[in-house]
Amino acid sequence: MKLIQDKNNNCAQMTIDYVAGMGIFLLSVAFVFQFMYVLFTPFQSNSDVITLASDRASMILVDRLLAADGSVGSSVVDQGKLYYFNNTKFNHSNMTIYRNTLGELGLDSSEIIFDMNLSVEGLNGNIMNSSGPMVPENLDIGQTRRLVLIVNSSTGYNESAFISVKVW
Amino acid sequence: MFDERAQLHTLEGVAASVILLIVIIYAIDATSMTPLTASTSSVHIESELQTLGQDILNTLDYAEPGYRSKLKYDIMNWDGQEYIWNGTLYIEKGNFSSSHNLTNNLTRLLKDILVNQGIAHKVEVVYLINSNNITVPSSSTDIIYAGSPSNNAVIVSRKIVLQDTDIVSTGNPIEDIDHSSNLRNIVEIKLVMWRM
Repeated sequence: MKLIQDKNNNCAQMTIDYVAGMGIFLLSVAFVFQFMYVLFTPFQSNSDVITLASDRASMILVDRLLAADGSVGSSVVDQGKLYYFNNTKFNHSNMTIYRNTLGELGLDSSEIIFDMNLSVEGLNGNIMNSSGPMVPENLDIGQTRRLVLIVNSSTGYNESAFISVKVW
Repeated sequence: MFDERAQLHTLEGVAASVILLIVIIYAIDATSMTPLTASTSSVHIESELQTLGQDILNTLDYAEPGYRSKLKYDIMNWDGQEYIWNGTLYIEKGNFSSSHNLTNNLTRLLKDILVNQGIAHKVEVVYLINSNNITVPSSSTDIIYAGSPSNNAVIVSRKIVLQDTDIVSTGNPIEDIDHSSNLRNIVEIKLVMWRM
């Protein structure tokens, strides 16, 4: 009986079964690790720092520097202040004024200096204004978009637009 | 055919397949990150949605001194009906003729911003009612309905005050809660947003 069993046992392709089992298991492990890292991506590199910086700059800009009189903190921007900021205060060709404005926005300190680009975009996507240096192509950029109402009390003009603050 | 191993191979096979199944189920449970799954990585998206929603209500509620805000006009002109986005217009629930649609300052902004960015949204109002001589908040009533929000939905709200001079349109359920004063009602507008 023993001899018969050794010659004709019923194990068949056990090795292949084990290989298949291990393969599926390893694939499962690889699958888990491939997707797990996505959970930690927001905490890597300095993406958090620039995002926070852009959030802070946009808040100072919209809720304080450009806020229409009597509407502080309510996403309403004065058209005259916006034009002045775009054309004069955030004029990149004059580095002293540009750096002073960055300081006002909390982006210029003895430890770290950020660059910033500001663009005003209509709801239909057309760029109405843009100021600051060109956005680099090979760096992490933090961007914050705020919906604002641009008003001009003397002419009655009012238009909704997005203010995009890009920081790097 | 007959050996001393009994059902050893069968048991091994069953045990191995059970372990594999558990591993696969665990892996899928641990990593199935759909846009509707609430997680640490969706916190930033939620904060962006909150800022956007608050900006929408802020800009709509701006008024020059002596004028009514766009949001207040929209609430005054609401006819008490519930509306659903059909891909083109906010049409009245239960009446699919396109002539019964909601077009106002709020829907124009929602269409231009939230619909374009694929953000699902609904708008609810809560106002004051008199019940047994006690003033209490009403239950939440939908102006724009878009199904049940997901776990990571964001709610932003804004309160507006209606005076007796702010006449509401026919069918509007917001009543005068205090006939002895100029106050008509206080309405809270809630904008609920979530990613699809």
